[in-house]
Amino acid sequence: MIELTEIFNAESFNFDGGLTTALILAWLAIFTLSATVAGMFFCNQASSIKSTALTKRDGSAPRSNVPIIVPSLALAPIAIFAAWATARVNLIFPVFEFTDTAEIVVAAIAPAFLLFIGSGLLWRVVALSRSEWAYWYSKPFVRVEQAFGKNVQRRLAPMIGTRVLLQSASDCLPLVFSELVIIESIFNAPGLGFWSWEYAKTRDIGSAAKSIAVLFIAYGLINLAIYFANKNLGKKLTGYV
Amino acid sequence: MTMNSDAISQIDLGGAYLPPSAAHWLGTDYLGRDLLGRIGTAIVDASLPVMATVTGGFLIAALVFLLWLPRQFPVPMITATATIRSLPAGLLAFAVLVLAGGHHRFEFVLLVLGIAATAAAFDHMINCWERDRHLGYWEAHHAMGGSARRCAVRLGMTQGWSASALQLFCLSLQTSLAVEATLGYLGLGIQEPRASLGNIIAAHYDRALKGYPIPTLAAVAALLLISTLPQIIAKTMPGWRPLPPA
Repeated sequence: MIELTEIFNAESFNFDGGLTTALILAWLAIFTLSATVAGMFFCNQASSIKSTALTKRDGSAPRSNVPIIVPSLALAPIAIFAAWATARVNLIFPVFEFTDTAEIVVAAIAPAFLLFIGSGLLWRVVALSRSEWAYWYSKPFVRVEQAFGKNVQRRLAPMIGTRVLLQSASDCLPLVFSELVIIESIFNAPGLGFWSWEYAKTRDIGSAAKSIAVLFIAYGLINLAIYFANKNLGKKLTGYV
Repeated sequence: MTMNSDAISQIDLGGAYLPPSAAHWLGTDYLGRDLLGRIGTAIVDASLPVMATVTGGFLIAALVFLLWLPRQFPVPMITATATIRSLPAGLLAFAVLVLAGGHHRFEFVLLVLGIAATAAAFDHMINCWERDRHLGYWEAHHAMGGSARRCAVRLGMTQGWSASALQLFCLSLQTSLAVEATLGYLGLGIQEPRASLGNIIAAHYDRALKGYPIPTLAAVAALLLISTLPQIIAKTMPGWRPLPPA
């Protein structure tokens, strides 16, 4: 087993890996945000149809279902082959000495998108958007506002969007971080997950442990941010309703 | 040991990378082993133990929950299970394997997945219990002499909690199978000559990039099938359907 001093004395820890991981996570956040915004436009139309969401016995918004999780290990190779076979696009990360920053930013799109699907985030955002619209449309205050001819969608959209975003992020974050290592490894993206794997292969356990520790700290910080955002939003919603 | 001997005896370097034929439906791998047989072995040797571990974890959680029941659940116990449940199982298993070195890797994978499944199931049952135990008909059942355990089994586990428990079980199965295959791919789980869907994909990935994708695609298809199987089973079960209006 490794000793703590080995972790602190590790010299070959790669800080640039953090930037690549941050880049992939930033793209992932953009995809999640885009899906949430798209959900605001498309799912509120579907909510006029009576949803099974409203048939729940306790009257609460439906939360759980088994999400469609396609393992990134299955998804990523197919995406790489398909991109190359159909459009001659190489999705493998460019790791040359003088790679342009713009090229790296663009290369992070594919891993982030597959992480978005593989972690179930896409499915979660869609499912939550549908159920949240159905739930809030059934509330009496919404009916009253509709009766007075007010634009209910405009008032509800920011609130529902924020709820969907926070809830789906909170639900899928463990899977995102679980799949991060394999996504970076398959796409050869030199992020923290990739480097921790590389260090483990060369038996540099101290550096590997340091990279993994940074990943866990990042996971904890993002979780904390979601927790506090949820807490504040909860107060606002109570006042609103 | 027997498993390793069998796996080694199947090696035939002269028959490496044979294309699909009547004798080998999916062709052979880089060591001349029948690929279809190897995928089947991977499912039996790697995926089934994972499924058994997750199932065992859920059963242990139910047993501990029922044994503990008449008493209050202590806060440290609730906090510990909730914390373990919230951790990313894949990253946790990866960290444990990296830090533990090269011994008993698959056993460590199963241990981590088992603990994660047990914590998830236990946390779910505690949450359901805390939510439901003050419901009118639960309290009525208790007032008429029903014990807390009987109440939890009759009104909770076999009724109100079963659908969400089934969903959680399927989710745990899916993620655990994905984690096992991922660690196999990274060379941290099951090692050659034993078979895992992950190490089959890893062994043929370079060749797939050079234009021969059959072994990789076959293993990927098997992984997709096995990881979506719990979801398909769950959707066909009665517990899946939403509850009727009161």
